[in-house]
Amino acid sequence: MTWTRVIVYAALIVLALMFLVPLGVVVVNSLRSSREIAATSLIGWPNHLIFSNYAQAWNKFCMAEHCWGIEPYMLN
Amino acid sequence: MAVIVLQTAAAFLLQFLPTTAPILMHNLGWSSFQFRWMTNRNWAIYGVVITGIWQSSGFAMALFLAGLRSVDQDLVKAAQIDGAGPWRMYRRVLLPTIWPIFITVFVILLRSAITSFDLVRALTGGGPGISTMLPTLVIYDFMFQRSELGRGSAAAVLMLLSLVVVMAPYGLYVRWQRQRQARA
Repeated sequence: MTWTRVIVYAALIVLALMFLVPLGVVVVNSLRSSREIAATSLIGWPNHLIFSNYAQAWNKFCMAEHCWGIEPYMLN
Repeated sequence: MAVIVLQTAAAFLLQFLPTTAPILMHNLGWSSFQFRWMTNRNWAIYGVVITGIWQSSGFAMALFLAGLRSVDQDLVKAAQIDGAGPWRMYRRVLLPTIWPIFITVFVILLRSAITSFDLVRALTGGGPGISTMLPTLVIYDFMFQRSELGRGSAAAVLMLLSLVVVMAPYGLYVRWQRQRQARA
């Protein structure tokens, strides 16, 4: 493997990480409680995995006068 | 023009309609004319949809035009020699040839419809009430208005999954098409 190829692969890995890290942060944060995120940091591993965020985001979260969650907007 | 205009700029232009359209119509003699699409709960979503269609139609037209120009002229001439009329030419020759462009346009516009944010944010802000709230606006509301980062992230992941449902079959279709062309 030539040095040029090593540099190209390194640059590609860095770019891929730049793209994937925010996505990873969102996925990890979806398993943390909002209180835990506020108490610690935006970036960090969850102390306890919380899957209830998905259920609440899907059909229980209250917005304006309705508690439909994101479900009706996703299915529209 | 709509292709090169940013979505926020398109929304900005459309925001003038509720004030300019009635003035124009009243001057033309239609004194009872009113334009309340963006302020009516039942009609606001149609106003957003029409603006979105106007904004994205130029992109679809550009792709269709490129597809029509790429059609082999020998096929068209052969069909003309065989006596095909304009309707038959479109139905039997042109549409089957540019069929992959239909799928591409459908998938790209569906993806942009699912992830649509700036147009609605600039045009109605999700209102009146929540009548034009889209998933992206809900996620924005979760994360940046209410600081519910956990739930907002969960909603964002759910939206990502809905995009995967749309994009994965398209990716498989493109791959299958390439393999078929390679075999031919």
